[in-house]
Parts: sequence; structure tokens; C-alpha cells
Amino acid sequence: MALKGSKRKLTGWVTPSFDDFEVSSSTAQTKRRPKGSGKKSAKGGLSLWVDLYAPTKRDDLAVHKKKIEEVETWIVEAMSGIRGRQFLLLSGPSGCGKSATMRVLAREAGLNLIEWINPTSSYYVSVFEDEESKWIPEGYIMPPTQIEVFQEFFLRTCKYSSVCEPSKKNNLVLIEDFPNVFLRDPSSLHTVLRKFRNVGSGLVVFIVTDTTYRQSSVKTLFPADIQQELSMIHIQFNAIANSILLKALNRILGMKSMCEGSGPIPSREALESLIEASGGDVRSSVNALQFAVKKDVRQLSELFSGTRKSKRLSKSKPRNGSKSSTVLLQEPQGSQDDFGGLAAVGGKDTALFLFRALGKILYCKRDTEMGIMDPLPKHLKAHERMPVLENAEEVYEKMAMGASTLNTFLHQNMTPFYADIDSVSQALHYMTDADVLASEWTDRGVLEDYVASVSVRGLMHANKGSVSSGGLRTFTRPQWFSVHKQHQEQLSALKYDYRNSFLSLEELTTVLVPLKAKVDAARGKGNFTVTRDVGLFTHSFSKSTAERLGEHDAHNGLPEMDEELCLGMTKDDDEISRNALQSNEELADDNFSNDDADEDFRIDEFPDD
Amino acid sequence: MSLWVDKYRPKELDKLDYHKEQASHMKKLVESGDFPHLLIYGPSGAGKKTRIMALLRELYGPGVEKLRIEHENFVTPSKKKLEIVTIASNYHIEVNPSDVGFYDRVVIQELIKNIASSQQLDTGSQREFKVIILSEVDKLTKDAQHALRRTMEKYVASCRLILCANSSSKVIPAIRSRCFGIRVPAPKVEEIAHILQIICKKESLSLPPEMAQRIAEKSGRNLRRAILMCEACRVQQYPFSSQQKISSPDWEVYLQDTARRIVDEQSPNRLLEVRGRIYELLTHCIPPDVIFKGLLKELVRNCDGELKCEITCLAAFHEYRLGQGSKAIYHIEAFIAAFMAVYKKFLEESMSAMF
Amino acid sequence: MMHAFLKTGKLGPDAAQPGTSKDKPVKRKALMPWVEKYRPKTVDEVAYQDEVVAVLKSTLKGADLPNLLFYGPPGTGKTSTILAAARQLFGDLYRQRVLELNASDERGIQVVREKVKSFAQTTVSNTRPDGKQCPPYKIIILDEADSMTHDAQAALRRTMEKQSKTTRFCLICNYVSRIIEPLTSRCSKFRFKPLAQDIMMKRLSYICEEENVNYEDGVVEAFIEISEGDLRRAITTVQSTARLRTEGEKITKQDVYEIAGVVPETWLNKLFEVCTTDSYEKLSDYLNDMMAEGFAGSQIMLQMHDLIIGCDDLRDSQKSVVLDKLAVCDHRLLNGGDEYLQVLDLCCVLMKQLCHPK
Repeated sequence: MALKGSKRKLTGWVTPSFDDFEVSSSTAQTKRRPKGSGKKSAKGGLSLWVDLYAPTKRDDLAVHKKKIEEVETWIVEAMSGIRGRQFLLLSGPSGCGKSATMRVLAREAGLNLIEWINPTSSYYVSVFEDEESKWIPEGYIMPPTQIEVFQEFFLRTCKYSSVCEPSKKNNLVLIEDFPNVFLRDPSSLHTVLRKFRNVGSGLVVFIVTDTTYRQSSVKTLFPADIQQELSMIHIQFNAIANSILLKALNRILGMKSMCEGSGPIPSREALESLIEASGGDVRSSVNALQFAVKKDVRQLSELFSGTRKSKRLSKSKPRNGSKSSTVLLQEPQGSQDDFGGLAAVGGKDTALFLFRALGKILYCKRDTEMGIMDPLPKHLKAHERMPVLENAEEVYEKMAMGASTLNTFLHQNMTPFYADIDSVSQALHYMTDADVLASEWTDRGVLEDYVASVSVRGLMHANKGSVSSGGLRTFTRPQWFSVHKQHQEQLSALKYDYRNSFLSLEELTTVLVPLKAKVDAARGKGNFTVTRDVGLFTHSFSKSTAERLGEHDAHNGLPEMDEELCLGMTKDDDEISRNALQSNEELADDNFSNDDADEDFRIDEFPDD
Repeated sequence: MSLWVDKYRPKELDKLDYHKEQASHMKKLVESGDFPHLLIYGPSGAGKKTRIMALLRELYGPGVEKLRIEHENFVTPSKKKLEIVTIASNYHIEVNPSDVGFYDRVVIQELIKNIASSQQLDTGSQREFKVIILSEVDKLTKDAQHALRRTMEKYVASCRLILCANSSSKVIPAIRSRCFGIRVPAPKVEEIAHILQIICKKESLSLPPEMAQRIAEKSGRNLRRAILMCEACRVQQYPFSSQQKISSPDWEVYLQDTARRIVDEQSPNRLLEVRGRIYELLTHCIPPDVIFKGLLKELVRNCDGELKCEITCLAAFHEYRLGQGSKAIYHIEAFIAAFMAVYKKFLEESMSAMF
Repeated sequence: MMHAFLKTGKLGPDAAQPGTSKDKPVKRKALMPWVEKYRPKTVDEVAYQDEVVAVLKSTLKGADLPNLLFYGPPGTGKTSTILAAARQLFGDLYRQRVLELNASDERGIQVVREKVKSFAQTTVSNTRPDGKQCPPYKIIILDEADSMTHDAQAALRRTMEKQSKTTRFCLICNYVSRIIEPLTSRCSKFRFKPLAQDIMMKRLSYICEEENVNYEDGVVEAFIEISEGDLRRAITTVQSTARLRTEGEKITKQDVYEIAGVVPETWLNKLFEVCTTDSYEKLSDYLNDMMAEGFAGSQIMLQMHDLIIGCDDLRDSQKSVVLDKLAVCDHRLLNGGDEYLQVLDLCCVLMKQLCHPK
């Protein structure tokens, strides 16, 4: 990730020489290509198909018609000068055609598209910082900050709307590449936007890619109140449906054979498996296709084993439900073509959205066709299960979420998935096992993975699969955090109110406060005190219903702080580092490097798309 | 208007209502001039704090009752700032180190060092030492207890410690052996009833003896609870009638209701509903171990002998694990689910035995 | 501190007692813990531990002192022995030649590396200021060494090797298994046996006489009973119990048990009785009562252990079932489990074995 990020930054300075890349699995650079190269150039096979066959007209777009219309409506309204049609926000998973749609429609509408690309000046600064000392050459002027550069760019585009292209065209500013500083401090972006609204005249489109880790950037960058304040229109794109994707790939194959003559044409099955593996990402599927039709990569077919999993995924989708996995499994042996195997190369190794991960664990699909592989002896019959389709560790790994946080989500949502109380009891027992493991703070780093294994596998094992699937269930965010927070707040308020009583907490909360509340209530006093809130059960405060979990939400609806609070109750990082110091000084260093890693993570918040 | 509990708290060793022989022992300790570190332990509401304050008065005179609240600040080795509330007179200081959770060791070391090294005693006093009262020593981490033990030896010249704990089980032996242990048993039911009568007489109320007895029985030998319940009864209905309902804390009623729901139905759905109720109890600051004990007490009522033992075993196991883990809800819910499973099986078996 | 430190050169060996110094008013003398007051002053006074005494005596006569590792249950004289030996070896130089570190002191790697090292590095001569001969080395006493982290112990190993010319180490611990192998192999190991009854009896009677403590018959036996071979604990209890009674009054057995926090036998016997009724309600009510009395759960279990072992109504196989549960419950209790629940759990198992033997 970090590598991609730095490469990307370079693009502003160096003319990218993509021609050297015969095949590139990296999709990062493609979108920065100048627009012109979208034509069928003479470069032929030397160019990426993604650019070569980029959609130029509306019909080529592999996007749902409705979404296109929505975007178009906005453009039309904005150009006709309707108030409050200045900002547009597009979001969706990577490779779902957000940018392409915008480009095509902007051209059709005759808009002058200006794209913000992160400047690389900060690159040099970081080079100096990497050196041993922070050496700054004489006469070196510190470069302007990212915000300054961004703001200048922004304001310039609207002031001198005709500088770039001396025409009467309206400017449309496209921002996909957000300066990192805004991710850390979204309010600075908001300031710039407010300024722009007051003076600017052009249109602004933001494109944000949904990510599975961390807070979804949409929510960080454009919280609801800002969207409202700027009367921003938000259009959400979905991953591209397989049928549309298939059409798009066929179009490309058609165009290719038109200009280059016929080559090997992959079978429909191969295309389908390739699409399946791409997870609705048009860019990665086109890349994979280009790679696939190369003759000299056939020997890579052994990579096929890597795609087994992604094929199994397909079973959970109703669309491919009719197609049994055995057909796909036999495919590589059939020597006529082995395009299927190439999904491993072009396949999108995407992180799982929390929503889907929870589904995978809790629904716990079992392979009913395979049947029981290794029958257990009689006394262990109770533990016999069909093989599960998901690999617990793999699901966990793809989630980019801490094991204890994952457990709170699982715990919140698990109960309805079990048919009887026995299984729930069993599952909960595993949850407590995992919780005890997770609290073993001296080895928290090491144990984290095991914690996830215990809870995820435990829940899966306890699920005997006999539950009647009552349709699609909703998932909710864990209530534990808010309960815990309230608990802490009430407790500290109580501690303060009764600071001179010096009772043990238990005595305070179970005897003094409830009974005092009764005395007070009967006397008609203390209506709004903590004593009353805690002591009496007349009005409850945990009634807040759990927030529903959206399909594309990441886990950080809950602030990190909560988790810390939670741990603070029993153990603490201070104590850990103290211990680390005592037992091994090097461990302490680890803590620092962890911080660094954290920083990297933040920089790469925006994966390329 | 202060509560009866505070209003009628005896202030001198001579005026204590029960454990009179113990009081005379304490007096002897003060007179001998050879005053050791003390470990005072006993259940809640048995009168530990009352005895400590009376003891201090015996040591220093009424000056110990002039209390002030202070906020002490500490910095941990990792530069984290801590604040802790202390209550102090000119002669003593009271602190609950477990308030700062995992940092209790720092508080113990620093606080005692500060106090012991600053000699700000009234010159009028006849004692060369100050007293430091530490509450809830049984809640201290092992680390802090070891630090405490060392501190006890180091500063014995300038201060004495009075440690206060609910149980001596969780105080390390090294501390126990360095302290003069005083066990304060809870007052007997008759003693409580008697004290209630005395208080009501002082309030010019007439309390029917049967009612005093009922309150005393319901208090579980917790005097504080008994007096508070008595006062709650007073504000709800006076004159007392012997049939009057004695109000217990809301959470107890709620917990009993929760237990009833568990016994009524054993299904994942019911479990989910009960989870909400447990959350409710937790937000009302009811400690998880109290929830465990309360649930156990209610749940076993509906079981036969063998099953009762099994449920107890489950409760003991899950309560212990609660202390090992960090998220209470898992453990409470696991216990409830386990009970449901066992109980359901029991019901089914007894059903089939009938036919 | 500095003042006291400078003065010690002129004071008698008594003043070198750790934790006391002559600055304090004379009145404080009375407050001195009897454990300190009656510590053996010479190696000869150390009772019962013959092997160590023999080695140390030869050292006093001029033989070299190996690195030492003392282990054994608490209160058997480990610390007293090395302190007495050191005092005899160095006399007035004691303060300069001996470094005593406790587990409660900060004893991470850092301390081992810095404090121990810097103390170990200084070389010393082989004469006292008064001209007498004394060994040309220093002694570092690491009390409760088994609570040091393994890394700290490993760091100690190097120091030990490097400074062998100038320094001798004496490690003191309860459990030798918690000391890492490389350290134990560098030390001469001595196991301290739990003190025999008659030795403790002699010592305790002596102290009682010295301090004018009156007691009823059987009280000394009671002291020994509750101390489980730990002389320090016995002496502390004697001192505490003596406080209860003014001079002239006799100490009773009950006093001893109360001070030691022992649950009176009547309570425990009743508990057993309740367990035979097969009534869960009676059991839980009775236990609630015991808790209200303030008896410690761990103490109840400890005493139940003896009762179960001696119980005639249980077969051996049944006893093992109950004791197994006892071990589990005691462990849970020690690690934060609730007293009432754990004891109740144990009693339930006991009740089952007593009433429904299968």
C-alpha cells in the first residue's frame, strides 16, 4: 500500500512511462492517465486495456443506468445555475466506475474538467526527515503546506476560470486525491470549502472510495452536517453487477478483435469466474482479462488453487447459485482453456466489509454436498459438523479489525442465529474464553489472532446450522460500548457526589444510593440528581436502540477511546510498557514502531481506485 | 437534612452499640502508646468506618472531625497525570487508592512518602505519628500490596496505617502479618432491631417491634441498609403499621423480575431480552458480582437439590472468569444461557418422567 | 540519613539493625517489632539449620565464602542467618559492606545493572578500621529473589561472574524452582527446614518471659499451631496478642485464634453439620452468616482442608473429589473470585459427597 502511495505522488512530476509495463497488476497508475490516450492508439498491445478501452460514451459505461441519470441530473441542474448545486459527492467501492462516469458525462456536457493531484513538494521534505538529522539546505524555503497549496489551487480555478483553457466552458473540479492533512483534520477542508462557496463559481465533484478499514472516509471528510451546510448531493455507487460487467468485458473483447484481429477468446465460464473474483471491480477485471488473453501465461494455471475460495464465495450469491461449484472445480483440468486460473492474478484481494464478514461468520454456511468428511467416534458425535465454507482466520484477517472489537460485534448479533438455547450457551462459552484470552495483556499482541480464532471458530462450531433462515437479518452496532460509557460516567458522577462518604463502590451503588433515592423521592427532592438516575429504575437510560449497521460501514462508528476506556478498567498500556521495560527494553522500542505503523496506515487511508 | 445513618453514627468508642469488648481492646491499644498498624476487616455495614473514626477521636480528640477534601496529584512513570480525592484532618488522611485502578501502586508509594516526610502535625498533639487510612485494601492490585508492605516498614516512625477491607482473603499474608487484625462482624439481627428502636425513639417515632424485626431480617445483617430502609419506610408511610411493605432497592426488584423471566422461558429470544435487562442493571452501576449472586439466589429457588448445586457451580465458574476477562456482559450472559440450557433439560426430563 | 550513616561507625552492632537507628527517641524502643528485637545476633544462635551454620562458621574462621542460595518456607531464619553472619564478619563496617535488596524495592533490570553493579565494582581492603582482619569482599543480599523477573535474573548472572573477586551474593527465596538454572548453578544451595515444634516452643517461651507476657496453658502450642512452622509469624502474633491484655492479665487461646484470624472450631463443625443436612437453603443461609461474621473465605477453605482430610464419613475417593474442588475454588478465590460463591461451590460438592455417596 505504502509503495503505491508514493508512486502515485510521483505522477505529478514525472511523466509516467507506462509503456514499459507490459502487464501491470497494479491499478494505481491507470486513472492518472491523460484523457487523450483513451483512443485506440497505435500502441496496441503495449498499453493497458483499462486506458485503451476506457469508456468514451454513455453506453459504454458499465454503470447502472439509474446512477448515470442521477449524476446527469445534477450536472444539468448545476449548469443551469440552480442554487445549491455546487458540490457533488460520489462514493462507492473501488472500480465501480465513479470517475469514468464523471469524465464521460462532463465531456458530453461540455465541461472543462480540472483534476487536483496531490503535489509532491512534501515528498522532498520527507526525504530530509528520513536522513539522520533534519538537515535543511541553506536558503531552502520550507514548502507551503498542503492546505495552502490546495486552497490556492481551489481558489485559482474559480477566479481565473479561463486560464487553463481559454474557452467559455464551465470548470468542473474533480477531487479524488485528498491531501492527507484533511484526513487528519477534516475541519480544515471544510474551511476551504466554505470559502470556495462564497467566491467560487465552478462545480466541484468529490470522489471517495469506500474502505473496509477505519472510519469510512465519507463520514470523516463529509459528515452529515457539512453535507447539509454545503447542500452537497451524495450519490452512492454500488459494486458493478456481474451481468453488466460481463457486457463490458465482451465489449472490450469485441473492440480488441476489431483492431487487432482475433486472438484467443476466453470462454463464457472463464469470464464469469474472472468477474466473480474481481468482486464487481471493473478495473481489476479488465486488467485480469488483458492478462488472461496473453498466450504466454498459460502455465500460471496452477495459481488456480488460490481462487478456489473466491469461487466458493459465489455460491452464497443467488445469481450463481444454480451453477454448482463442481463445474467450476473441474474447469482447470479441461485443457481447452485455463482462464479461470487467472483470477488469482487479476482477482481482487479486497478487504471484507464488516457487514459481509459478520454474515460469513454468523450464517456459517456449511458444505452440505461434501458431507461429513471424517466421522467422529461415538462419544464425540455431538461435535460432528459438516465442513464450513469459510476459513475463520481468513475472514478475520481480511477485516482489519481488532479481535476484541470484532467480538463485541459478534456478541451483539449472534443470538438469533442459533436454533436452541444449548447452542447459544455453547457459543457464549467460547466468547468468554476469548474474552479471558484477550485480557491477557502481557501477550496481547501475540494472542490477538488466537482470540479471533477462538471466538470465530467457537461461534461457527456451536452453530449446528439447523436454524431456519428467517430471511436477511440486520446487523447492529454493539451496545456494550455505550452501556460501558454510561456506566463509567454515572460511576464517576457518583464518586464525586459521595466523595466524602468513603464507602466501597459496591456498598455505595447497591445500598446507599438506591435507598437514599427512595427517601429523596418520597420527600419530593432530588429529581434531577445522579442519585435518582442510578438508584431508581423508573426511567431507564439504556433504552437507546442499537444503531443498524450499513453494508459499507467500517467499525469505527465507535470511537477508539471507548475501547481504551474499557481496557483501562483493568489494565493499561502504561503498565504494559513498564513491564516491557522491566523484562525487555527492546519491547519498548516495539511500541514506538507501532506508532509509526499507525502513521503509515493513516497516509494510505485512500486506497487507489 | 442528613440521613439517619449519618445523624446517629456514634462518635466515641464508649458509645458504640455493639462489640463492646472489642471497643475496650481498642481503647487499650490507644492507651498503651504502642500503636501498631491496623487491618480492620468485616462485611459492609458492620461499622468499620464508625470504629475507625471513633478510634481516631480517642487518639487525637475531637479535632479529627474537622475534615477537608483535598485533591492530590500524581504523575506515573509514564507521565500520566492522576488525581485522587483525599479526606484529611490535621491528624489523619483517608484515601481509596483503588480509585485510580491500575495505578494504585504509584499512589501508595508517593502519597505515603509525602505524608510521612512532611511533619505538619499540630504541636499540641501528644502523638508523634499521623494516621493514614486506606480503604478497600482488598481491591488493591498485588503489585500495590507489595509496595504497601515495604512502605509500612519504612515509615513506621512517622505514620501508622489503618487498612480497611471487606475481607482479609484478598490481602496478601505479608501485610496481614504486619498488621494488628481487627475483625468487625456484622451486628446480629436482634442488635439491629434494637438499634432501630433507639433511633426511632430519638426521632420520636414509635416503631412496632415486629416491624423492626422484619427490617433487620431483610437487611442481611447490614446495619446501614437497615437504617436506610427504616428511614425509607418512615417517609413513605407513618405511623408505621406492622403489615407495611418494606421497600427494598429498585435494582433488587428488577433483578428478581429478570430472574423470573429467565425461569419462564428458555430460548435465544428470551436471552436477548434478558441481555437488555442486564445492560440496564450495568448502567445503573450494579457491580457484576452482585448481579451474579442475586441471580443465583433467585434462580435456585425453582430447582431441586441436585440442580441447585449444579447452578452454583456454574455461577462460581463464570463469576471467577468475569474477573479474568474484561467485558462483564459476556460472562453474565454465558451464565444465564448455561442456566437456561440446564434448566430446560431438567424441565423436559421431569415432564417425561411424569408420563 | 547521611548523619546516621556517618555515625554508625562508632555505634555498637545493635544499631546496625535494619529499620532502626539511634536517631529515634528512646521511647520508640518499645515499639521495635519483636521479630527484629529477637533476631539471632550470631550464627551460633541460629537454631536448627546445621549445615548452613557449619559453612558460615568456617567462613568466620577465615575460609572463603561461596555465593549462597538460601531457600525454604518463610520464617525459618534465612534472612536472620545471613544478617548475623555478615555482622560478625564485618562488625562496624557492616553498612559499607552489605547491600540488602528487597523484592518490594525496584528491582528491574535497571536496578540490577546499575545499583548492584556500582556497589559490586568498588574494591575493598581486608582490614577493619580497628585493625582486625576481615574478608576482602562485600555481600549483596537479594531477599525474595524468586520474585525477580527472569530477565533481571539473567542480568544478574553476568554481574555475578564478573564481580566474583570482590563480591559475594546471597540469594534468598521461598521456591528454588523460580530461580533460573544458571543462577542456582553458581551458588551453594541450602535448604532451610521448617522449624521443629520444640525449638519454636523454646524460643517463644523465652520471648514471653523477657516481655512479661502471661498466658494460660496451651497458648504457646496455639501460637505454634497457627504459625505452621513460621517463627516470624509466631512472634508477630505473640506481640499482637500481648497488646490485647494489660500486664497481669493472661492471654487465652481464643485471643490467639482471634488475632490470627482463625475461624473458631464451632463454626466449622457447624458448617460440616449443615452440609450433612442436604439442604441447600440451610447451607447458603449459614454461609451468609459466616460471611457476615467477617471470616475470610481463604481461611475457611484452609481449615476445611484439615477437616476433610480427617473426616471419617468420607471414603478416600470421595475425599479426592472434594479436595480437587477445594483446590480449584481456592485458586479462583486467590485470583479474584467472589468469596461467598467459591465457598458455596465447594460446600455443595462436599454436601453431595456426604449425602449422596455413589
